[in-house]
Amino acid sequence: MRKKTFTLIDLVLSIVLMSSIIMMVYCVYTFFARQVPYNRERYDMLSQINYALEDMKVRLVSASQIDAGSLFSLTTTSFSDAKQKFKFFGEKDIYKITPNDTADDIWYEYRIDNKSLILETHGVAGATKEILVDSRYQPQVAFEWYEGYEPNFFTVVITAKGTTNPPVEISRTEGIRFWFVDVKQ
Amino acid sequence: MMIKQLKHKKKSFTLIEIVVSLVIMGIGLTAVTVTFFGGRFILKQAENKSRAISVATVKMEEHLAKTFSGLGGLEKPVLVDIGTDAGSEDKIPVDWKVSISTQWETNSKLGIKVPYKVIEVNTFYNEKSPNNQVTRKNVKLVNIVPYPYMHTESLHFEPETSGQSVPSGHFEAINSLSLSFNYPVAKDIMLIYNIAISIDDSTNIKSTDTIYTACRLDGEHNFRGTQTRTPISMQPFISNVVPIDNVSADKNHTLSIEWMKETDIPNAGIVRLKEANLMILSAERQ
Repeated sequence: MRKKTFTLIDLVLSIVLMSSIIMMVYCVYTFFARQVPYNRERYDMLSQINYALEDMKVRLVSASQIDAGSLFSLTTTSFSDAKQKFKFFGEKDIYKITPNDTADDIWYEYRIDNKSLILETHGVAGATKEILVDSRYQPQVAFEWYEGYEPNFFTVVITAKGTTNPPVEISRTEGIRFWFVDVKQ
Repeated sequence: MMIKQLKHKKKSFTLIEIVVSLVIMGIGLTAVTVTFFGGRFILKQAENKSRAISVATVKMEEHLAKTFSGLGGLEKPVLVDIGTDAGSEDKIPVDWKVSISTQWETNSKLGIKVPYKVIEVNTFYNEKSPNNQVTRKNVKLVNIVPYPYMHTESLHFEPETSGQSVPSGHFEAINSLSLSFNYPVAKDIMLIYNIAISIDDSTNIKSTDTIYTACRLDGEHNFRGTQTRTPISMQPFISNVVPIDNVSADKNHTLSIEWMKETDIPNAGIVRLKEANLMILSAERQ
């Protein structure tokens, strides 16, 4: 009786096929393994940037005073002005807007601190810092005013860089409108 | 014999079985890969749309920051702003167009029409599908700016040389102390004015001599509101508030201030305009 066994061809073929499968599975795995943190980081950065922009939008709209160092001005040669930080006096409770009563207002400042984008508040109880975009994403912020804008309007650009290789870079721009004050001198 | 052979035959995969199973696995893996790349495309689509919305929002906020009259716009949409937000390695370029139109809301109770501006921002971008087909995508944002309920007009006048002198015995318009306006809706108006006078010559002016001031709309025969009567020598400052209801829409109106002095001895003294403020507060007719 002939005993059924694998031939050499069978074995070689099966090894080649198995290697191909393993290679494919490995490639798919590494692709996914790279994409998952890449997309998670992208989502995380977008969430933090959106949170920071939303925070600026709701706080800045009722600002009652802009710090002199944060006011925009144009020279005879430039048609725009940009600042890396922005300080203003605004409502402590952003849902209770009282433009005629500044007793309930506090100083706010958006700036980069220890590589993070923060909101610093200077209230009666002292200063507090809230991290809006954390330092691992190396955020950059620019408050910009261009010729043609209304005096009570500017744009904010926040850029963040991921930690993956190659790093993903995300930038979002938001238009901010003021109700009671102008930001352009 | 056959049964014995079958019993002793060791069961193993044939090449055909292996190839078929590989084909099935290949199809499965292809499906997974296609789904994954499809997911990436959907993510990219969401990111592109998010960027287009971001650009549209910036343009919308930029125009919402303008005043009602500063927005412009006619009955039909007028293209007021067009441009491109340049892309980069990771960002698609986005074209934008902003158009503004003026529309009307009818208040049937009062029988008046109130205008409002419609701002329409369109952003356009090209999107490449997985099979490299490019389609033009569009995001549209629409917002309105209501007609302001209150309007103010004001005027400050201070003569550079000697001011106009007050006529004696008859009313005369104070030059440069008039305001012209034309509102698209009917208004109730409150006119406020202050006039400071200087007495250049007090000859024959008695303590009972007075200056009258009054307000006239569109040269009408009758004055509007209350006339003031102020003692010349004791109160060199005149102020008055005149309410005028139902000033018609879409018509050029002019409010002017007139004055005269009434003295016991005709043409006594010389009284001149020193400084004046005129202000109109107008609210939508109620």
